[in-house]
Amino acid sequence: MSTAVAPKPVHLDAPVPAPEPVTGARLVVEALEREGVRHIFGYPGGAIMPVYDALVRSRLKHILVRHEQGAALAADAYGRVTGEPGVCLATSGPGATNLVTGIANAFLDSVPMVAITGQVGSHLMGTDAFQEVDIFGITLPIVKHSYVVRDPSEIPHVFAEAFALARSARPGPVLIDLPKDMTVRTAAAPATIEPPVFDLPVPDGAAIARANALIAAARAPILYFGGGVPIARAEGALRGFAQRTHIPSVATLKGLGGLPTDSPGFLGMMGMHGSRAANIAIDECDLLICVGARFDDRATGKIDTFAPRARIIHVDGDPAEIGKLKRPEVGIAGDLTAVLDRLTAVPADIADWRARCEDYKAKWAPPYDAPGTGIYAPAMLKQLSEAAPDNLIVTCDVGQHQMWVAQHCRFSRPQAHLTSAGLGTMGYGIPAGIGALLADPSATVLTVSGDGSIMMNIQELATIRRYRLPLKILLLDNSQLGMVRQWQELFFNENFSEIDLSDNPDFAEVARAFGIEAFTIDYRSEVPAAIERLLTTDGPILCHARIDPRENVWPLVPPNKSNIEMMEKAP
Amino acid sequence: MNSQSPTGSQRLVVEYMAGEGALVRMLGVVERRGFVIRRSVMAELPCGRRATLALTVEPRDAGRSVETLALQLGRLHGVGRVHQETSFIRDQAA
Repeated sequence: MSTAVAPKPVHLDAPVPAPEPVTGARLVVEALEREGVRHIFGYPGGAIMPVYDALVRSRLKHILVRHEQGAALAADAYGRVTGEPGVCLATSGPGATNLVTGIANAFLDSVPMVAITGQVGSHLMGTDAFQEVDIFGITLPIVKHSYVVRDPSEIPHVFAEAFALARSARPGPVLIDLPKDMTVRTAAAPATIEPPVFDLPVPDGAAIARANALIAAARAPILYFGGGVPIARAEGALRGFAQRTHIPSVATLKGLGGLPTDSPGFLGMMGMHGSRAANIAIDECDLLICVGARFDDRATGKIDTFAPRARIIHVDGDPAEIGKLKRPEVGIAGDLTAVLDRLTAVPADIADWRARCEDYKAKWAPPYDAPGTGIYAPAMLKQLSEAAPDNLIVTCDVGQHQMWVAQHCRFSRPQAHLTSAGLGTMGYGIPAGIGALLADPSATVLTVSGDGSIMMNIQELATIRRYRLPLKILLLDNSQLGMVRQWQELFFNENFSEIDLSDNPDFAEVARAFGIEAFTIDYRSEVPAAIERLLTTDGPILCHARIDPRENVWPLVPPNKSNIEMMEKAP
Repeated sequence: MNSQSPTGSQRLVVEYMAGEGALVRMLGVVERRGFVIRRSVMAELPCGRRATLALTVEPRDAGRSVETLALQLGRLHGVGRVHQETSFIRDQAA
């Protein structure tokens, strides 16, 4: 006879054992892991040390930058490429303030980001303690939202809400300030965390119907799209709309890449350094369909004379953008893909208009046959982007080279063009290249920089070397602050002031000192081999291209002028 | 909808969650977006978490729209409703 062991009684209402209290720092790490974070860009210091202590045993990969600004800008690019919040981490005081430019950059370009800062202990806050700054107050105008953690038990909820806010609706940076005692004290992790949901507005069906009627009746429509398209991951819907309607299109600086550069009817970038074809087409159009753009002054020129003959349809994820600067005939707030998919009307007959736009595009195509034997940057950028594979991502710094990239590079994939558009942050390019490569290791990532910009974050060459990131860097060196010089030449009577950088270091030597392969070219004849070397080298590489310091960016709309008053050369 | 007073000042009533920094955040938006604050009255509702802020604001130039300002306030996290005088401007879950 066997003896059965009686099963233990099951008490369905037995209390669940309380979770073991853990440190706030551990809760931070668990919250980041819960959000699916893989990479964090940061730099340790006193007030954030408990979090760094907890990081050692986590699945998170910390990328040690050499300046906190590099962390924030890398996180920005990471956020743009993945669509998920990029995360940066710094200590209190100078660590936190060094993040500020990157946070502002993300805010101006609506990039999802979570910035985490250490803070002095709660009892010291407000006493001017060592490395104490009110980073919560400093960043109020440049964050979507922000928190000071006042109890470690809040950490799971604060992080869940911060990530949801950063990525939802119109994305943006969210700051979490962590007083040191909040990361040292213990609290129990909640059993479950309900991530909050923040929805976009539901598109207004009546407005969509009115928009369809306007599209059907248009004889000379233009599709004007901006950074809201990549933010909303609406490239597919945009491409579908353009193919369905055959409406000629223009992009803002941030919109570039929304449609492939060689799409039929795409007239290029509009605005201050836009193509003449794009600006003239906007001037002549009878319907302007604005998708994910905000009538920024660099895009519109003098706004009173922008699209003077057009009725306007404005589609945006953010209701506060509609009517902010230009009153539309029809405003539609909501998810861009949902709206574009419901804009099913097709203009009756725009064949003549399309032909006219194509004529403009051909007639005013930029010339690439500059005289001389020196390197002509627009031609080199065009050749480089055409030789690169379709998975190319270009990150830029700010200045003349940034505009040349926008004007002359070919973009194929979504998120192909990462540029500091709203804030115009010199020093964005290299950290952004780091962020882009970590976000998408399969991409070919090229950073185009200038000799002014590269010095703003050149220390991040060490980060590239440390993580062996195969970043390709093209440095266009005119030994000047070229865009400032151009404006002084054109608008300040050639009164050149503080633009000379002829005492630059030898950039190829600098790169080699960081352990990065580098070479210098001076002549046009060297360009094909340089492009080949850039694109075929496995590891990081820098091509230092010395260009003519007198070269300007054309066309140019002078300040406070209409876009059709663009200059093609110096008067 | 025209709530503009003869002096150019306009009144907004904001309902919001009374969290850390909420008041400063709202006042900052109003000033940065080109309005002068002429009067402000803040009151906490009996529940202690919700509050209202009544503002009399005046645009710094003719290009500033109080309707746009109301939408900009309405997108702040924690802001519920923004009323322009007696007119309803925006309603979203707080």
